Amino acid sequence: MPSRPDQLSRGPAHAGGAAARRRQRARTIACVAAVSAVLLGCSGARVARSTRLADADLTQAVLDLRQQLADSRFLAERSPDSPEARLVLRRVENLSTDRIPVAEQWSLAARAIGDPGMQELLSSKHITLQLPPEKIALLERGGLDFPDLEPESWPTHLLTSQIASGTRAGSLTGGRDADIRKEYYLISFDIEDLQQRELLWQGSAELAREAEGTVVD
Amino acid sequence: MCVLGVLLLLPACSSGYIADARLIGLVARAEFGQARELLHTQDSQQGDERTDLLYATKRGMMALADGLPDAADLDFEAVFETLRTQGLNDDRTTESIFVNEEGTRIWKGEPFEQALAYTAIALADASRADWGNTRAAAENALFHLREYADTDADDPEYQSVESSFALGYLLHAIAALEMHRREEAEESLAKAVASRPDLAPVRDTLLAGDYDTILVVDYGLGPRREAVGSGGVGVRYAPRTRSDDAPLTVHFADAAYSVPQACDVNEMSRDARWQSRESIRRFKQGLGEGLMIGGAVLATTGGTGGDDDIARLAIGAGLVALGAISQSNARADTRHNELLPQRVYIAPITLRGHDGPVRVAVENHPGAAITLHGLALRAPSEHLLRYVRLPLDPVEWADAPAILYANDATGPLDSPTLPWIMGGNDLRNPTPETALDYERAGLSLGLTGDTLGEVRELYRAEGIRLFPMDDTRLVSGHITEGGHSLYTPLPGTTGFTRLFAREHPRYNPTTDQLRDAIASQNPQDDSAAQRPQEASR
Repeated sequence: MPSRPDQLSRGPAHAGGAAARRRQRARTIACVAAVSAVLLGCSGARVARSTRLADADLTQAVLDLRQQLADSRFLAERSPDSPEARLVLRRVENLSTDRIPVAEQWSLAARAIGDPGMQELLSSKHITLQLPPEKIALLERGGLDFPDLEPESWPTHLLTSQIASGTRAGSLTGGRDADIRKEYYLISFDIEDLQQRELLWQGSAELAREAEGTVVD
Repeated sequence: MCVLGVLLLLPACSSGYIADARLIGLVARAEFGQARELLHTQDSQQGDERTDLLYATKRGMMALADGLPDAADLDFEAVFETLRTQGLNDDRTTESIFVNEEGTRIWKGEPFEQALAYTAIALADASRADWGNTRAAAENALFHLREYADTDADDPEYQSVESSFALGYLLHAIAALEMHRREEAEESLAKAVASRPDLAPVRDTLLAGDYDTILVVDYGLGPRREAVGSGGVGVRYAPRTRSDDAPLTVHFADAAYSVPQACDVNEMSRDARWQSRESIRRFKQGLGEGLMIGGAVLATTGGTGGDDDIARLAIGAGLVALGAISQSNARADTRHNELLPQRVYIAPITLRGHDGPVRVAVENHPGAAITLHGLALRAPSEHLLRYVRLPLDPVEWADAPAILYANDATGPLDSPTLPWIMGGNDLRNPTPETALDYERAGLSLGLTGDTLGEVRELYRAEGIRLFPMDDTRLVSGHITEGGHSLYTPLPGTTGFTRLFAREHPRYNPTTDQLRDAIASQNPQDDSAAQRPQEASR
């Protein structure tokens, strides 16, 4: 029975060839190990490092809230013949652990109702939008232009908003230091009738952000 | 043998971070404008992600001390972003075994430096009455700490414990009170007092709402971080301003307050809970020592003649070299924020309509005093928080009793005056109102009849940028201090006193346009309009 080619290499008669093959095998193993190490380094999914709110998070939340307002009973019950509602905006109240620049605090509320489609809808319900004049300038400096916002004057309704958050932290490795953190955000909008002190609409959007790694390092 | 000797000396030769003595000198004299300018110069030289956070923190702190929280915000937003980034150095751990920490790791500071950076951000937000962001920044400063069972052990046991940062709790409570979250404020104040019982009167004043102004006052310089021990592996913090129990006193009219310290940075730096561990450095030092001893033994035993001996010598020398490099790289990272204060006070006071100067001083510390101006400027019923950094050395302007220059906060002087660049004392941003005052002071440029436009043109020609009070983000040095910006910092700050209560030399025009304009106002007196070549004769 003919020997299999790999069996030919075994035995003292082929000691020199065996050593060469061992070297070859060692080189192969080393190459595989090196390539694997590189691949492992490259293939790992990029881990999120921060639980701060990203602009995309806020944009999505604004879209959700805009849709909730468009579908609301508050708007459904209004018509072009309803008494004029002068809706004044306030900046978002930050109750989260994230730091939200003041311009963004104003723009979040403004973006929710500043969309042309939303402005048209509000206008068709006899609702005008107001903002303190200095805040209009602030938004303009931030590159946000809302041609239909009027300076604040005898508002009848108030739009307030809030970003709150809760933090959970733990250890991926079971150690004593937290190396994974999850932040739950709740973004809520309210429209209140200033004369009746009545809440007319409330919308909210939730999102969560998770990050790995210890905070101190 | 000579080679071995040189290699053995290597660990002693590695350099460490050198605190900037010039910067520290400026801070000691409360020259925060010059300190800001110096830091901006250094930043353009650095541009290194490993030290970006350190320089951004220092720039933000100097802008805040200069009464410019909006300018500070440009850096503080980046500082907050970096501090909130988790595992920033995770990918650099392996690398840092072969190269020293300063060469590889992004500086994030020790836990106490991080807490104080968050505090500075909270103070910038509170100075602008942005209480939501103040609360957020303060909350981030209250991260859990490690409490060690035995700090002398190589790998000591520890447990995660709640922060003991009284200053952070106080700021968190102040913001919560402003946001009508009383229960949360009570909880934070209780923790502040549990950590520093002598803060009980401050807690009581805050909860009683018996204040309309809060002064947060920094004094001194925080400790210097030094490498110590064999191979410089360990670190210690050497105090630069000694700790003591001196209270802060606040005087105005016939009122006097005395408050205890809310934070002693020397104390924090000595507390193991506020420091990270140096396990990698210890491993590297142990490895280095092992290699050096092994290499030296191998190289010095046996003969020196045969091939084997030469090979043994070469291997021994190689091991010593590796050991020396490893040990040299084990040296502690001595980067630190040399601009941190040594202590912080929080003084809730009631001005009740007092619109005169307010003097703050650290008891028994000559030079640690300043007279603040413009604290009464606020919206009705608004609570005002002002951050004040005291000088360390006596400076003559610190106790200046009156405002000498018209500015955008306190307004015009008793009698109208010309713009400062024209020899007057008006440092306001030119507006239609200030233009009327210039005309009342006798300004008659007579070119177009548009005084405001012509004055603005003179500023533009001189390369001076004008900043209204609500947009001071991009200010550089003030024109009275050799810079190119005209602005008014927040009243009630050290920067405000330094710029407007201190006498400045006359402006030296750089353009013929301004010299001619000055000469046309004072045909008898051409001293202000001297040509540079004449002035230099």
